[in-house]
Amino acid sequence: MSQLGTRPTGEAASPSEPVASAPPARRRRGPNRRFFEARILPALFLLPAALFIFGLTVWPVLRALQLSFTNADLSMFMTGEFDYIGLANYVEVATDAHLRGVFVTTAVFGLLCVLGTMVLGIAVALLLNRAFKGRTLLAILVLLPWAVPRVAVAALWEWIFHDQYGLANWMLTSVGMEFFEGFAWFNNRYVAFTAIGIAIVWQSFPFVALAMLAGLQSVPNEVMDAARVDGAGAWQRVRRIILPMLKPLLLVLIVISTIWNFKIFDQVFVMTEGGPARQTELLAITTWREAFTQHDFGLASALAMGMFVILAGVTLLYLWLIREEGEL
Amino acid sequence: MRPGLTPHPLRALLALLALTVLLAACEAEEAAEGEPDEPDEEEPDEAEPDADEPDAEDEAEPDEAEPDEDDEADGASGDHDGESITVWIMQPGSDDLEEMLEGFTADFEEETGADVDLLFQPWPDAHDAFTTAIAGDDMPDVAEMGTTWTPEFGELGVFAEQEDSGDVEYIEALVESGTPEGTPLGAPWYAGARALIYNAEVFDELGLEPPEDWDELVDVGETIQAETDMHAYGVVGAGANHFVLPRVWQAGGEIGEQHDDGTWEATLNEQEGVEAFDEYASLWSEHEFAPDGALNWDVNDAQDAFINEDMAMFEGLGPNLGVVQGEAEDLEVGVAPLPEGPAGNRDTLAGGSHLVRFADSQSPETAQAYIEYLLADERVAEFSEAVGFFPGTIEGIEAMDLDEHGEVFAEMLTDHSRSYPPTAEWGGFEGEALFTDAVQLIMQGDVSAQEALDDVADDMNDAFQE
Repeated sequence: MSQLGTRPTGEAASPSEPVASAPPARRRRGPNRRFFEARILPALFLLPAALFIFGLTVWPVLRALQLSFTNADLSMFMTGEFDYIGLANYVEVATDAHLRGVFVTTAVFGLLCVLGTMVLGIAVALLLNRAFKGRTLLAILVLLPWAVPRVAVAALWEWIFHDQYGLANWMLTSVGMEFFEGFAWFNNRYVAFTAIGIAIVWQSFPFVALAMLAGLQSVPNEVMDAARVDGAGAWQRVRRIILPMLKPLLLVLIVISTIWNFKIFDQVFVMTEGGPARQTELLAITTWREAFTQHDFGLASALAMGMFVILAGVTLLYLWLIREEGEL
Repeated sequence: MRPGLTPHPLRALLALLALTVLLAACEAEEAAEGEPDEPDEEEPDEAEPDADEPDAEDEAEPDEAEPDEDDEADGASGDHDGESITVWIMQPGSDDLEEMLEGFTADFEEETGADVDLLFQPWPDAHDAFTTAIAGDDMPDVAEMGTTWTPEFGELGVFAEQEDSGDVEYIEALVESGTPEGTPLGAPWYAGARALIYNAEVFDELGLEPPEDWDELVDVGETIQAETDMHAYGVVGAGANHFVLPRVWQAGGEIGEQHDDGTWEATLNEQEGVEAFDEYASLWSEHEFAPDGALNWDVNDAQDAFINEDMAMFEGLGPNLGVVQGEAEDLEVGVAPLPEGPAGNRDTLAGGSHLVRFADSQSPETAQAYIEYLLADERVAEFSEAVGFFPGTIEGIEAMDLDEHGEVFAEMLTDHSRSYPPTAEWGGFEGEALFTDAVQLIMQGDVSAQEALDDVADDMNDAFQE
């Protein structure tokens, strides 16, 4: 990104190729002008967008990095005064049992959500890839959760899992599971994370399903027919043909959902707000809490940098895998 | 393309996406108008900050720009021509109330020639909104401030000092929280305190009287649970702050104490505090007065259960009673003072709101005039009564024509209300869920009340000493 727009202007112009002699009536283009059109002009066109992106992404990251080494609080924004305290915030993140635990929780829960999203998304894509009556309607229904705002979905699921008046307990007890009479979904962190995970996967699998469906339709029929003739079963066709052929797409989807699921905020915030007793806090919630309720912007920035490093790592891994594949 | 794969789903998808974008646009517009897209929080718990701290000896006079009887803002008409101010008021919970405030604002504009941009902030998001506004140096001119937040933000010096009117008798607790470190920053606007709301029909049927003290609460609750299929009492975990902390006072303890040099020290981990937290948690764990899920309930869940006649008692404010009566018209509701604790008092939290003027306002006179306009006696009376709260002055409360329920709420506020320590750190304690965490841990049975409260006290003292 940083190569955009700011090319050293001192670069020598490319050796001018012999110019076809032009009719004398037309102006000759000088080498300078060609250099301008080939190098400078595109850069100029890109510059506004590049500055915009820089202002929206790179600058905030740099600013957060700077703040993470300070004891910045809310008064800093008014007076501009803060002290550099070295790595103290990072030391606190590493030594505070709760903060350390939040990183582990976020990673484990995030990856489980990725797994759930991918498995359900691929399964639904395979289903929609078959011709059957009412498939169009089903495809639309599948997409709906993705179209609803996250906060609204979270509020909906909070109600579904309400211990007294929730749909989930009512349905489970209706089919004879008396155990779920007044069952409290949010009293124990593992059960609470199960409920939150269902809400998250329900909302994020449609994107995966849609992308996979598009991918599946690009697999040539001939290959599938040949496999069938050779006696490959359904599972073999998925494992040996579809997944390998769609590997690049799968990688992209895994990375995207990893990034999404490490940043989960809304669902947890609405459904449990990190409770009971901060046992369902994820990194984004903790960061918000430190910044907005404790006004400890230094520590919050350190937490945010932690998340940034993890997600940058995931992205680099993805780029490396893609290169290995010889794709791109 | 394989046969049978028509592009229909894609077309439908595009249509859906377009719809989504449209919806999102509408939402954004609504949000801009202060319409929350979240379920209505009737009475935000935070809306109730507290106010007074008995130990704080620096009895600063209430500040407050109470206008004299003539409700004219200090201006003859046209005084503020061409001035414009931005005002943030908390969402009062109903369209009628918003219209009332918009009406006051329109009258003010007409009388003064000023231009007022009135925005309603949803309570649950308001703290973040103030934090962001202060950080981005984009603050309103006037705002309603939950009383626990006044010291928190006031410490940063963002509020202008209010004038001291001196001869008006305010609810003491409101004045204390509006006067952190002796500087009047928040003008008391309205106040409220909790009382016991109970299902009168059930009490009559079982021949019960509202409980007078903690022991009776347990006896009454046990009777209700034995004789009916209702839960007895709205003991909640996630929203426990204002139910469990006042019990520390009722047990004869203090949450914190201020030393002569002005520094604070946490004392809620002393014997009385431990007893209070234990007693509260036992109502759930031992007596099972509320369902298992109440560990993560807040007062709205208890209120819903009460409305659905699944719960016989809960602690609430005037607005809670308003919601109950609005949603369950046939329900016979009674209101009683909170049960006394072992120390023989029924102290509870004085919640309420201040109005503050921001120090960097470009039109300070107009901002102040607007505050005084809202604080005119009859407007305060009209608004607080409609909300189900009370004016911030004793005189204002005495002037009200109250029904029997209102009398109980008024008595709780004037005779039994106190405030949490009015320190800058308090907002952070609540934001960190310090007290509710302790309650939930005790309820879960993983730690003893003493251990949990020792941790809380350590955290509080760390913050006090920073």
